[in-house]
Amino acid sequence: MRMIVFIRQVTDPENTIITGADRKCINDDHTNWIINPFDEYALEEAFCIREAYGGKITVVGAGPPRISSVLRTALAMGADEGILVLDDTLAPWDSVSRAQALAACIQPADFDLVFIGQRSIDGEIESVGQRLAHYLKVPCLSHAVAAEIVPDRRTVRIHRRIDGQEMVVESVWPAVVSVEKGLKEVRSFSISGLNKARQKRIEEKMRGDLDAESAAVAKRNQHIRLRELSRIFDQRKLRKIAGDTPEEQAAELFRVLRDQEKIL
Amino acid sequence: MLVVAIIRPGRSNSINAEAVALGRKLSRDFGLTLTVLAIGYHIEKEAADLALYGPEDIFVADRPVFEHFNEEHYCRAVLAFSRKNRPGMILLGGSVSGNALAARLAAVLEAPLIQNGVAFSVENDCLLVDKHLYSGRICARFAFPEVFPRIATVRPRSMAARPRGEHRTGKIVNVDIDMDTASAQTTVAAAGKHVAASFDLAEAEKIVAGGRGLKGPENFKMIEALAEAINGKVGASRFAVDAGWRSQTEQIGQTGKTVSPALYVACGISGAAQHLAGIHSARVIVAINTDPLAPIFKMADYGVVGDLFEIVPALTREIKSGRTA
Repeated sequence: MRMIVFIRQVTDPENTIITGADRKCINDDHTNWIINPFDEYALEEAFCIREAYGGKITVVGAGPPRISSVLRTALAMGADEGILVLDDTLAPWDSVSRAQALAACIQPADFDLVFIGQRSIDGEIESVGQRLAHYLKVPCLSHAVAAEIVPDRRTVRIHRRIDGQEMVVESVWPAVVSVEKGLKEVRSFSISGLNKARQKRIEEKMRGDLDAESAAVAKRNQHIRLRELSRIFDQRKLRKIAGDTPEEQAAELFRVLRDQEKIL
Repeated sequence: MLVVAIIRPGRSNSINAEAVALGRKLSRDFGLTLTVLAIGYHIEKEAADLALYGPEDIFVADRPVFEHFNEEHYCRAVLAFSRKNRPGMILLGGSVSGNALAARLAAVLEAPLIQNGVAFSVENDCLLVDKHLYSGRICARFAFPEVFPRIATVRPRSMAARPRGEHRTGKIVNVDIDMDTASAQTTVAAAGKHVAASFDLAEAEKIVAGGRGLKGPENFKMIEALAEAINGKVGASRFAVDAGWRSQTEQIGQTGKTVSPALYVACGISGAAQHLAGIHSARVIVAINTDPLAPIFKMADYGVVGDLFEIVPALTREIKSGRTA
């Protein structure tokens, strides 16, 4: 199986997030960067299929040069090779650019499955998978909590939960699968994995060169425009519920919720 | 302006009513006609209910092919319906299905998309949408480019729906959608039963959640009892889910659900950043924890420092007796 996994680098949620002076970007001077957790789930699905059926996993990232660190991590976890599309213009909230960047460097003839995380925890975008599938003219299976393949039918099946209802959806490959958190544990990497990763290749491509060759670049300008970013300061003021015994505390809490907040 | 209502039989319509209310407001602001398209199977009752939030007419596409949600089919239905009157804007409720369909529509139409908008405003004829990023730490304000249609979903419980009015009802208009299903690329191979019983925590009005402090799965009975007493749903922290105590469907947090209930009661949850990311939009947060320094208290409106094994059952008793009193 030839599998591609799209890996995004995001700010560590434990960081304090500050906007840049112009309020149109995030100040990332002191940011810890991590792999987007949903892309880790996507990678894990690819690993499981490779373990069962064999094949090759290529991880692809798009962005500034620092993206290579998450690609190296993915290689240490067991991916075979990487592609880094150098592009300084990708904003975390722009699903169109991301999908175009990836579509510009791969062809349906190159892969059986593309895996991508269902959403990114920084820009909170969830539509890259569908847009990518459209540009590549392949089906998209989204919200997958588990994926499996049926090789003799060239079929990929996913388990998904939509509005709480469980479903199984399938399509033939090549296809794009976007992955939600499921039951599989994300694997970590070992020292030997890190050492092996150093031997593996990350090919660099310039976005500008790719667009000129690729017909997948959409002609319509669909990008949403950022006006302003502002920090959300949580305005809550904690009120301690008084009481010497659990019963007293419970009674006081009930009274507050019923009479003051009018929730109960 | 087209509002697409995905109707799941037996389930609450509130998210669709919220989208219709927003659609009505934006239609007025921009001088557009509002059309509502409801899609599903055996949805007569729910479509009639949606009409009570009127006065819009509800166009209903009710066919067996829509029984199990598949964004490919639902997308084709929307495209077929809007072939003659191309909408300038398509709005949906931000349920899981709504977001899935919106993503598909945006991809196929090569249209700009903003999902999970929490506020929609108009400035100089320009539609601005606010959305929360970075796990609820940043509010981003976006404008759409001059490209149509524009597609947006509204986060559950962030818009007020108009009250239902028996006298204000619109008509139900069944539409016959000319759909080519034979060329579909994705097929639903199996679907769980009990659509009506299943629900999405993101749409819940009241949630009681348990975490590591519960010490084991059997103690979640206490959480379930409290949830039932307040007519709410049960949620869980990542710890409880990863430990196998509760199902992934109940996980609240960055890699679980983002919820925006009126009331969120966190029991034995320390309040890691990834959990707080999922609850910051709750109207009232109550934290019950033995540790007065637990980070959850930084984001709570009310804090109860104490033993949840005593407090939670006492609260349940208080509520039950309060109701009968």
